[in-house]
Amino acid sequence: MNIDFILDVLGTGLRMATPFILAGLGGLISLSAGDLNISLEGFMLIGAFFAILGSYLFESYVIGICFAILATMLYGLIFGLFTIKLKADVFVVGIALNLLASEATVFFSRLFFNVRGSFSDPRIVGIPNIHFDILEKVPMLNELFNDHSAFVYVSWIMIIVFWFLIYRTPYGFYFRAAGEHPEALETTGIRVNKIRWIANVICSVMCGLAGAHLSLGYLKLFVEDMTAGRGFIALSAVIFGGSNPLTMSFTSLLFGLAEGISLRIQNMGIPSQFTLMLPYLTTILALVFRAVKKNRKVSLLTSIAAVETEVKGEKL
Amino acid sequence: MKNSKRTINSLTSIVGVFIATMIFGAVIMVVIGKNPLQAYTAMFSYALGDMSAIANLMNRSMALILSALCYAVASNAGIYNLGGKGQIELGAIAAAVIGYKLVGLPIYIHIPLCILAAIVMGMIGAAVPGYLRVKWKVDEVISTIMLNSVFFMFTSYLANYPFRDVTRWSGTTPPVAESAKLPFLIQNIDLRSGIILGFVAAAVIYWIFNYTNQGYRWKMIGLNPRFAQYGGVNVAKDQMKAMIVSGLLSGLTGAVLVCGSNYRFWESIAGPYGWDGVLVAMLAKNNPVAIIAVSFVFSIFKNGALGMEQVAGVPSDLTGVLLAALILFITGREFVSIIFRKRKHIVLVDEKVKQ
Repeated sequence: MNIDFILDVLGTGLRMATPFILAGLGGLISLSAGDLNISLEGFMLIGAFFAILGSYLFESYVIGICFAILATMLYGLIFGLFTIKLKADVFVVGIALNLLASEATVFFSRLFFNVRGSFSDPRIVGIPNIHFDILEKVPMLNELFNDHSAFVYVSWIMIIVFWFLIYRTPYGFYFRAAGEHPEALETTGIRVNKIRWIANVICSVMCGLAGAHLSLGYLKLFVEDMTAGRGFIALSAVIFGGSNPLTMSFTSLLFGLAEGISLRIQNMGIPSQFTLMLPYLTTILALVFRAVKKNRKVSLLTSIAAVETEVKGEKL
Repeated sequence: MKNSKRTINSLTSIVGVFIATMIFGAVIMVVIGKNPLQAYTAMFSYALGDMSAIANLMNRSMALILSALCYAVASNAGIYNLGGKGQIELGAIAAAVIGYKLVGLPIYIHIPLCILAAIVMGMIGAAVPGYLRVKWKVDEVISTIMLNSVFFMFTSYLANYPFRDVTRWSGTTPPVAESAKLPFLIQNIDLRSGIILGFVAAAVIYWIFNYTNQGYRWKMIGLNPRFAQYGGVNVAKDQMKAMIVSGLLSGLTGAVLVCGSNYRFWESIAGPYGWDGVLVAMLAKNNPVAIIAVSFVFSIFKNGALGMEQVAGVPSDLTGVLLAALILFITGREFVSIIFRKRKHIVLVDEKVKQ
């Protein structure tokens, strides 16, 4: 265990956490607005595919990112149409959209590129890495924070942006109100469905960015089902971290680290399945912990209420 | 009488949704410049053309029926088991390990042992989220989805390390013994006997749903848990029972996949069956008879895809897109029926006002 190894694992963890943070921020908004979008996975996959398509057609990563955002917004339109307009069950629509994304991207890659499995081409331009000259002289920070793909830094800025959006603008309040007390929000004259649509669009865009990062960030290729459960890890981070972008991002970071560690120890021949399990297990434990705490509170409240009525009864 | 009427009703609406999906598919084919008529003819002739094609269809349907029943039993009782995929994998690895570790047993002992091991593992896999739900109200939708990944990792570890077949690619267990293979129903057209298990399971669930006390309680809970509780039903206990039966069926699915068709375990052997089962059950509205019908239609789409590609040049992956779009059509269909019902109601009210 030398210092280089630790730095390497930490750096990989930072990189691995980026899609979780980006998609998680989107999922967080949609959760606080009341529709838990379980198809983050599908949205990311759509984003990843169309980023590659755009970059391939126009040889520009900017257009690739635009393609990803547009495609996921269109996909979000389907989600919104069914959940908000047609009032269908969020989970059913989520499952269907996950399946649709995994099948549709395969179908499109057959149609546009005439390949199955994976597609890469020299025409595809990836998102560049960013190099900070100032960091070069700092020994440890240089290895940790320098030369990541641009989206890694974008995701860190986004955390702050989302924190401001949620806690320092009225919209953050509207989102939470739309999720927790839609009737109360309606009485203040704000249309709940409008807020839900906005949340839906934000979620789609963030998932599009996460997908673009996956396909254009380091690899510059599209692989069938390349999200490989990352959407569900982002979902775990959202459920674990709640509606606070800071705790959500910290959780994402830990999950990214778990993935980074698994990658490294897999290369050393140690089974990595148990570290890969960690995000899911921690989510379940967090759910149980929260539920137990809530139950205790409820039973405490009922017992207090019981005592109070007893006291009142004696007085009478 | 009422039961059969309801079955017929749900079957006709399913046919409607499938026709809508096929029209949607035809539009896509026209857009990409292929002939839909030719493609659909090829699909049906490939999937239903001769006896061995039909046998192939049965083989694909057997796991689908079981996995759909697994979702149906739980959701009928108002508890959602989306963990079918993980539970199938748990069951499959149990069956595969018992199947290859024990040798020299007669077939009538070995196969029941494999199935028993599989259903026990499946039941454990479903009992965990079920217990968390009824004891602490932990949302089972999320916990079962998360457990899918946990069980996948766990079985992947088992298939890669302790029980790995070193002569084959990674993540595979050795083939099961001859005595752990389900016998063929008809050898020369490759019809496996697993389909019988699917039919029997569907019949048993149909009987439980419609002719037993337990089925009635489940239905009550599914429709309105509070009312059921008020009426003296132990909701927690009955939902737990539903979850365990659901896990049993997933385990059985795993056993059928290993002993009935693949004869070994590999990573993500459950493949599409877990989620497809959910879709089939949703389409069939948890009705076991409709589940059998929908499973066959699903399998026609999946098996016919290759024919569509070879004859009409339509990428076979289009069927996947269509089947995923199907579930969206169902939610749409329900919305349409709600609107019509409302309209009717309004018309009635108007007439009353006029009188």
